[in-house]
Amino acid sequence: MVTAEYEASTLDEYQLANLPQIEHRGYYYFLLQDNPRIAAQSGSIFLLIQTLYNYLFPVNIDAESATGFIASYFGHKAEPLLPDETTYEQNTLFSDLQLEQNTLNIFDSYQHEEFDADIAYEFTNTLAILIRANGKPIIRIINNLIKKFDLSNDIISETLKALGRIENENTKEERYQLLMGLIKDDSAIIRDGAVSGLSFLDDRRALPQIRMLFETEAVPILKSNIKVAIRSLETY
Amino acid sequence: MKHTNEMPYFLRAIHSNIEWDNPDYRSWLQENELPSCIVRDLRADDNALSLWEISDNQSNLLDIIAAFVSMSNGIKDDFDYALLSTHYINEINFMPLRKPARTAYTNFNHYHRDVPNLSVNQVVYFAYLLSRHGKFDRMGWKEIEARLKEAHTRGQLDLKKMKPQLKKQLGIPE
Repeated sequence: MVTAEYEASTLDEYQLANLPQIEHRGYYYFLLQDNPRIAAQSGSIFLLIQTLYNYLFPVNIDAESATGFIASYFGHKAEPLLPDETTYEQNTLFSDLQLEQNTLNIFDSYQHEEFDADIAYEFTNTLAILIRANGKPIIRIINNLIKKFDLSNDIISETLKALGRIENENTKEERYQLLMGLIKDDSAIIRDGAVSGLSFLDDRRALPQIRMLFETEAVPILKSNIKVAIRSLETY
Repeated sequence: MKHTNEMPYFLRAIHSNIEWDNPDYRSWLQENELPSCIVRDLRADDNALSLWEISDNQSNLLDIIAAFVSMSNGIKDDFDYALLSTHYINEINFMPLRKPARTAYTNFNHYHRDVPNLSVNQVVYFAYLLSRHGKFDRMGWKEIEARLKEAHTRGQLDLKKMKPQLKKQLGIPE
């Protein structure tokens, strides 16, 4: 059913953004009917994503097995090539819940790590893969998870730094807005993460508000860190 | 936190300077207590603490940080550190030994020191001194990148020792 050959090179990660997905027995499937060009390019109508050690590996499954799978999953006959609106909405809803769970799994697996440069590198890469594969919706989901207060301040701070480091033009504006929304957080370590993230994102639009933050910041070491971020943003 | 200007310093790399004096922890930490999360900054491989000697005017500070970062994976990151005057190191009978580092920025490897044969109590006391007398600060990622690029231009980086991701970040061809 599953071909052994990895097919990541046949698909642009960018094109996977916003596609609905479903999960079955630990595998994550992206429906590709709504993008025939990708389907033709990959030679199948589905793309399978396997989760392994928190990394997402895209591989192909053949069209016949995929159609049979989707039929059994929804408990009715095989989906037409272009799903009707109801099915699309159902898939989209499922996608959000599943994406949230996937993201939470990543956070959980790093929640008790003692972050150092190597762990930060690994964590950044893991989030980068998730963001490149899922695009803008995943930033909204990360934002929601942060606001639910289920995560430790440490992991939130590291997430904010990672969001600044990731190279992905498609989600840059959403990451910028998320980071800006947290520069006045009650927690000093979250403020520090947001300011660092903006410095790594290297978007000079943040400068006026970060300068204002510098004026009002009461924690001396954070004030000094904000000054470092301002200097980085001012440097071309 | 105070520091003196009269003597050279020892630099200790730390993950997050704010964790050493985080106001979020003040509600539950007693006076003179340190938060347990800083344990990550006290790793003592082979029972030795790794330190770097910084001149009293800190003229070699950026180069030493660049040397440290020259071995990294090449993600954008600021460098958090604490400086402690050698006066305090001498006071507690720490014996820093010259042990040249193996970074790619070879001109500055000889500033590295190891403080060997340390017990947990000694490491904890070092943390206490750092917290009480250390100067905590951060070097911005762009300053570090710029210094590494300058070092490369001057032919001072041993490219064989550098990871591909860092070379890519610095625009150095493989």
